[in-house]
Order: sequence, then structure tokens, then C-alpha cells
Amino acid sequence: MPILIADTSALVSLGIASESSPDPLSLCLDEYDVRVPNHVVEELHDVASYDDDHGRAANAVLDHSAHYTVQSVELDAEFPLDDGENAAVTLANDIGAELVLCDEFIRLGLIHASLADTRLVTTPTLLSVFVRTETLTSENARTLLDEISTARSWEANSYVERARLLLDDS
Amino acid sequence: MSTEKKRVQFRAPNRLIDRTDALAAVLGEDRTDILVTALREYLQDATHDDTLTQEIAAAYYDDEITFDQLKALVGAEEAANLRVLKQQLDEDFVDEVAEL
Repeated sequence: MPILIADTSALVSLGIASESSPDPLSLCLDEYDVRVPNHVVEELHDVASYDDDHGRAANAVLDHSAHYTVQSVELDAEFPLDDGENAAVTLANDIGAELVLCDEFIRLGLIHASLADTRLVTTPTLLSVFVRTETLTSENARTLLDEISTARSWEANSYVERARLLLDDS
Repeated sequence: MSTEKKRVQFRAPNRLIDRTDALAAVLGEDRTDILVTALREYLQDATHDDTLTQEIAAAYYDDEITFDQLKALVGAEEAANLRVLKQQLDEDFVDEVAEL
């Protein structure tokens, strides 16, 4: 099973739709050997303290903790990234993970450049991968992306708009 | 919308504040009203700039502009982000990840 390292941003995105059926968080945990750096778990606890969509999403992710492995990570001080992203990149490089899942669009260039052999994916792309593998129907993927986009204020983002078209084509 | 207010302190050129106070006197408002209005309008403009950035990004995703043109418009760092996002939209890339 491919190893997927998840960052806080992406786990929150998946958690937002965790009460949907099918639920993208459970699909991700079923399809991949998901590893979560301890710094990301700390960030999830911070987000979970807020009484809003993001807080509920973070709580949902923490509730699924039996289905992913939390790994402690020694941060690489060279990376000018937040602790969670830094830990995800460091862990991915340390263990040669196949995938890093991250939705911090404004830092993706730097994260991508910091990864040695690991592919970077965002949640909209993960949904199109699930459509490709017939884990999700196009229709389900579109509904999930709409739900996540609303909570994450992605409506005006051209990348997400194009990713949605990719789901339509599949 | 939250009505909570936060107290902030900052330094500004004398002339700018004198003009702010003059306008406040004309409009029968106070200095804070003018500054808050100015800040709100500036932030709205900045959001419109983001709209422009998204249009530039869309043109790059659709191959209407090159990566070099993109870099000239939005700078190297933002261009690097948008290059990664464009790769995320590549069907071959999606296939590669699907085959893992």
C-alpha cells in the first residue's frame, strides 16, 4: 500500500466532508498507508478548539486516529515552512513516501522543491485520482469538491475550478 | 460580521494624518472612521488584485501565456506555486498517482 503523508491543511479539507457518503477521509485512510507527523496532530488539536467548520473537521480527523500512524519527526531547520508542512516534507524524505497530501496552495512551489522522490498532491487532485481508480463516481467527487470548496473559500480559485472540470471529463 | 473591535497603534506621516483630520471635519466624522473606511477600501482593492492573479493563473493553466510570461507578471515565487498547481491538473500526472 503506498505511503501518504498528510499535512494539516489537507486533513482539514478531507475532514470537512467526513460526514458525507462516501466520505473522502475514510477513502483516503483505506486506500493509503497514511502517516501523520506529530506536529500535524498538534496543529489539528489547535484547529479543533475552534467552533466552526474547520474545528469540526479537525475533530473528525482526530476521531479517526485509529486508522493512521502518528510519527514523531525531527524538523529540518533549513525549510522556511510552518512546522506541520516542514514535518510532512521531512518525514516524506526520511521514509521515501510515495505521496504528500497538502492544500497550502500558496506554498506548494517551495514544498514541491523540498521533496526528493515524493509526489505532491492536493485534495482536488486526490479526488480526481479516486475518480480515475473508480473509487468515487464523477458525480460524488464533484459534490465533495463543492462541499470542501465552500468551507475552504476556494470558489474563486482557478486551479480548483479547473480541477472540477477534470472531474467532469472523467 | 463581527462587530468586535481591536485597538491598534501605528505611526504615520504628519501630513497624511492632517489630511485625514481635515476630511473628518468636513464629513463630521472622526479620524477613526476615515482610517477604517480607507483600510476597508484598500483591502477590497487588494481582493480585486487576487481576482486578477486568478485570471493570470487561469491563462497559464490554459496555455494562453508561457511560464516566463507568468513569472514576469506574478513573480518567481507565485509562479512556482502555479506551476505545481498546473501539474496537478495534468491527466498524465493524475494517471501516475492513480497507478501507485
